[in-house]
Amino acid sequence: MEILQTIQLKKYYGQKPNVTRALDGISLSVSAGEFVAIVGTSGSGKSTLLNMIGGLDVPTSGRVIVDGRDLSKMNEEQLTIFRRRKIGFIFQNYNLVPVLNVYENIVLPVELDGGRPDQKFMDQILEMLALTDKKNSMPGQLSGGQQQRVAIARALLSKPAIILADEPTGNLDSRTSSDVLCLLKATSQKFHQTLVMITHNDAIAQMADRIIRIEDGRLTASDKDLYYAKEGQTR
Amino acid sequence: MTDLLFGNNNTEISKKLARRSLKSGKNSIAILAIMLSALLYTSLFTIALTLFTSLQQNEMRTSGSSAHGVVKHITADEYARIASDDRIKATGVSVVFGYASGDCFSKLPTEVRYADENYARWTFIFPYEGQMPEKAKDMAASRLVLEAMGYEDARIGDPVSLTFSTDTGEISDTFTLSGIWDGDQAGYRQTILLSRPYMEQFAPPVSGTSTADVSQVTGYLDVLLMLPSSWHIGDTLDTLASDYAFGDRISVNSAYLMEGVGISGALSILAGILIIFTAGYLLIYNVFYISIAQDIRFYGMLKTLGATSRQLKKIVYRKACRLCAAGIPLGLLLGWPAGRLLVPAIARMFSKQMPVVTTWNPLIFAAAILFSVCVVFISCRKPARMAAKVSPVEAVKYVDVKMDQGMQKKPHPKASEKYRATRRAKQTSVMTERRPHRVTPTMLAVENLKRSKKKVIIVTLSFALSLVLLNSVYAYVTSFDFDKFVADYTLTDFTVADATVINNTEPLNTSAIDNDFIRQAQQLEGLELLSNIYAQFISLPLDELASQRLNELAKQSVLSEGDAGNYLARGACSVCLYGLDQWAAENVRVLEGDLSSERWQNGEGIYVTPMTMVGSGTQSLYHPGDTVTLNQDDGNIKNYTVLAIIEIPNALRVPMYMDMGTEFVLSSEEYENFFGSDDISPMKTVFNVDTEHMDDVHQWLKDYTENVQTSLDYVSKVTLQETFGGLTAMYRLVGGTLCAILALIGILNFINSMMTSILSRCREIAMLQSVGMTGRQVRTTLICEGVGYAVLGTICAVALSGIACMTIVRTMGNELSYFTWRFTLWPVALCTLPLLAVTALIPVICYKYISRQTVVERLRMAE
Repeated sequence: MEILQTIQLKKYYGQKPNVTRALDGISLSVSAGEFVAIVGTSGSGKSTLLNMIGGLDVPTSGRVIVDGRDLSKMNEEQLTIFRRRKIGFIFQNYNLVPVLNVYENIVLPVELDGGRPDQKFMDQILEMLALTDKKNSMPGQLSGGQQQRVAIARALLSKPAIILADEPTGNLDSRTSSDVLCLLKATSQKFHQTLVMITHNDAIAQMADRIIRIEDGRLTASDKDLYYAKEGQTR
Repeated sequence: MTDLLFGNNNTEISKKLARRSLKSGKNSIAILAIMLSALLYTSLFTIALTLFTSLQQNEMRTSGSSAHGVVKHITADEYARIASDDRIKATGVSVVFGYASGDCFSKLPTEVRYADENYARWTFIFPYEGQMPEKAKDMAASRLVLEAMGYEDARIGDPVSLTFSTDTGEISDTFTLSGIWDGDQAGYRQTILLSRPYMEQFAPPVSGTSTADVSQVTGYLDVLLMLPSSWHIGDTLDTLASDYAFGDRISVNSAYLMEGVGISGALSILAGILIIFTAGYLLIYNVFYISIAQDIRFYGMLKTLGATSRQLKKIVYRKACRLCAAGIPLGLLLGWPAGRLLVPAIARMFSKQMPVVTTWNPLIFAAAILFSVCVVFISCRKPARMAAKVSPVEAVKYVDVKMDQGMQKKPHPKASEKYRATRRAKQTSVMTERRPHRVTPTMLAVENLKRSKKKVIIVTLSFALSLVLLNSVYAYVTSFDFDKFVADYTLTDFTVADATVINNTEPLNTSAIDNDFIRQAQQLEGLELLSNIYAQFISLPLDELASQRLNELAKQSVLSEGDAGNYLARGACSVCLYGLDQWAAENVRVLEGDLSSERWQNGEGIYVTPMTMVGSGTQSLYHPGDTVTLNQDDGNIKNYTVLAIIEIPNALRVPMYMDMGTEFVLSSEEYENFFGSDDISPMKTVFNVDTEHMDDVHQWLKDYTENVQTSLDYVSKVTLQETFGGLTAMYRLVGGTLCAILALIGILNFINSMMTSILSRCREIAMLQSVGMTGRQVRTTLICEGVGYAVLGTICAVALSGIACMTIVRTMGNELSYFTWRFTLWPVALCTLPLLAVTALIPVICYKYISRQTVVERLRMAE
């Protein structure tokens, strides 16, 4: 089942003749439960793609369909609400709210939505991510790896359609990186979560089920083939 | 190579850095803040100094001289000795001829003198037209005197005939007018100047030693004294008096005597200065703190590149200097006119006719600059330390929340282990674990407010300060009690008396109201009440009982030995004897005994007041049951029984006390009997009319005293209402202006804090939005934060205003006779709404500003 689909996604910046084509016609699809790594050099457009998928940015043309809903048909407010329900974000610099403690940071999207966190699920997540003791700590008291685990917990808790991770290990040392990645992979598998991760590190990308390469705003040939091949299969 | 030990020359570069960092930052708020403080100080000092100068000049006009002191009635020999005294810088000499005589001088008492130039200049009688009299028959006089003498258009060189009396007789002569000046009605006497040769001929200076006997005047010298400085005038003159045995003929010019500022007066001045200083401090400190916090990465970078802490501090201080250079002149420029505009309103409180002197005294500006610079540098100290202490690594990831920890002082190397432990505990408690709450916009707002407590405290205080002041001024003014205010002047709608009694100028004329006036007043339409108050000073022979009481008082040291001895030696003292009718008698306050109206009416009894001028003014020389013996004019003696000790309302009194301040009250009939009915006239006539005729009667009285009988003057509730209105308006104006400036400071402080807080959290807000916070939720959070300041400010203001109202306002008010303390918090309550509106609006505007960038743009923003 397809959970994410982008159709001829384009994002142009600037005006003629100096148009920057950050994304230049990207079409891809991700199935539920899949772990996809998007790999590319700096400036290749991978972050722009992720922002489009997460509804943070609006494409110049093309469509993004998440969980069967077309993001381009939603206004800002609707997008925000959709985001907190269907998309979990993990950022390179964790982006935790400094004035909230660990628990509050994790439940933030759920509670902003007026909901109550699923306590049992919460406990499970905390245990898997070894955060149970740190529940009441403030972000300032945690190490980088711990902070990123909090961000992972936050992304998981609302049981979103997809988790988008933007260089989740970019700020961590290699050992912590692999710990965090393993946890990320393990948890998403356990909870049957779709995961789209951006990285420029090939070694990290190897952990994914599928690797999508992006260069100058376009998918590289091999991946295009893969996409069409897959499309052929589903047809 | 630079020498590490002796430092290097880095002034140039730190100057350049300060200059460039100024250019890069937005400094308008800082300059505005400094300007506001300078404005506040300048206008305040302008008011204070202008008022002081005006009061002093006014005092000089009425006392008649600008010299430090004066010795009266001395001889030429004594003058020669005192003139060579080292303690005296300069003298002005005048020799008295006598008094100008003739009908034209009856309302304008005028002395005839010879004077040297100093004397003429210091007593404001130096001719501005023509010159001082030099030839034998020269004469100089004021326009005022010349007009009174009938020489309306007198010119230099005109002949003037003058008659004046000396100790030996009258002299009539025709003089040539050599000099003219304007003359001042406010002076207590006028002067005509004659020449030195004329003086030597008709009033040659007396030689030998003078005595205290002042019945002889001709040929005696009055000498004005100027001392090297205006400090300790009283002390210097006291020693001179005893050195030369001048006694009380030497006196200090009252214009140089600091009016007794009571402790509460001094306290309120001090409190006022403290408030404005604090207001300035709060504003500037906050501005600098925020400015440094925002540039902290810049300072961190400089440190990474090798700037020392001292250099960083220097950069901050230089920046402050440059901001001062921009802000202070503006403040001075705007502050002086602001202060000057407010002065006339305040001056009216002291005296209706006091002309306000415009002063450009450099002291105003010097003090204002000093205050402003002080407040800027004091405010800079902590921010400078913060910049100096910045760690290059931390600065890079600096966020608002880290500030409080970063600012923590390191314990002293010798601090005890226990101290370190408690410090550590405290420090970790800043980030200590916390039980989770439900995340809502309100909760987020509260947590955000908690992250920079210092800033919240400062903004809250600066809000509270202006509210407290506003409330206090309002409470003060609304506690002015018109009824009490009026009671000081009049119990009735109208009070008529001689101008000297109404204006309290000596010598008092206490029997000025003639039958003609009383007859007309009795025929007034709408008259409801008319009462005549009689009063006269008489001499009370001190009988055995009184002498005994005086001795007792002297023993209890209520009365000084000297004073008691003086009275006993004289065997008499001056008292005021009143004649009151039934209505007036009903208005006195009984302190001891009872009125026993019948015995008083039939002339058997008398009422006595306490000795107001002795001790606390509550002791009485007589007590009910005592017998008082009074001497009648015709030599007969009359005995009265003391019925009651009473207090006469001010409105019915003679405006002065004699000797011990004892007063006696007889019924009008007995008063007439005592003096013999022919030659008595009332001191005051008081009357009420119905409201309908109030304005008509006021108009009639105005006309009567201005045109018919000009020596009379009056007090009416109508004019008092105007005076009262002016008084309250003055407080409202001055208080209101101060409040407005403080409120502006408070709001500026808030805008500054809120704006920087939102701008510095721009990324954080974007992040919240990325994980699903809607625009509305962000706005709600920010509004809650803003309103939080207002709520805290209001709570603080309510508490402080309540306290201020009950303490400071009450104490200050109790100094006024027309004050009835009322508690109020209305102004604070009323200000809450606009405050809430402002604090809700500003965050919304700020958010609108940052939301022009998309969430992604803000997220990408380099930290």
